[in-house]
Amino acid sequence: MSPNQATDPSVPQDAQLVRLTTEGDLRAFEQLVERHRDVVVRVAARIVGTQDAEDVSQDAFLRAFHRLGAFRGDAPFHAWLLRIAHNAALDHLARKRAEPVDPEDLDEPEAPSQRAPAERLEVRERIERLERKLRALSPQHRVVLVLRDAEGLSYEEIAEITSTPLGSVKGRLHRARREFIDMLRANTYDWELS
Amino acid sequence: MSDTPDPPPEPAESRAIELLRLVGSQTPAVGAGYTTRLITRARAQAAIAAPLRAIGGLVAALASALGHAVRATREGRHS
Repeated sequence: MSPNQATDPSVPQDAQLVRLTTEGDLRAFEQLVERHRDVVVRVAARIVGTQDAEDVSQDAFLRAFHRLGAFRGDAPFHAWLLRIAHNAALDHLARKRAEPVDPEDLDEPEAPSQRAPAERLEVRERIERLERKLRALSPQHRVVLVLRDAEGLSYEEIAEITSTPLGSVKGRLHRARREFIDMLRANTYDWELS
Repeated sequence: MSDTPDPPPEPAESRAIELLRLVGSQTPAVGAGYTTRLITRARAQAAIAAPLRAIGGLVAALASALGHAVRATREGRHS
């Protein structure tokens, strides 16, 4: 939820937009999409890869659209939506399971599509390397790192999104961070891990 | 939602979290017309969902009626 939405009474709340959508107002659904698109695309991209993120995020929004009648409002809308996006992303991975990650690709940055200032290019390259590292983790570890460390969600929200007990979320996050750190250390690139 | 505070992470963990935040700071670009395409698909699916639900209801009602008829016929033969 954006700060404006929380404070400005003229900005409709998510629950209000959900109700209007279930009454057939697709402009309300459009507002929900615009409001939550970035986070859904980011989470999808970090789970399935940037190339498939658009398709998976659209699939997630369509699934949500058909299930809006089931949204009870007892959890924040973004957590409910991210649960659907998480499931859509895992379904996508299950369909693509036959395509293993080639370890030789993990440290090879993709060629940038256009010229950019050197600093921006370096940051972009670092992010691409990190994304490839993330994709080499198991989906469960990848998801918890993305939701907690990349997106900053609470343990409770992650438990809700992944349908996992709270204690398991914390344990999984600890193991995922260790695996991620080991993977970075096993790499010639200097990640300044000390 | 708020969490109970975690113990301070060790340096390597802090650095890993920092790197993951960097990843989270970048939103991949989506194609122009992303939302328009999505709304068009939602509208199209909503348009066929209602007739499909009606057909589904009709098929279920027919199946139920057929089941009753078959049972009634069997019971008639046994009595």
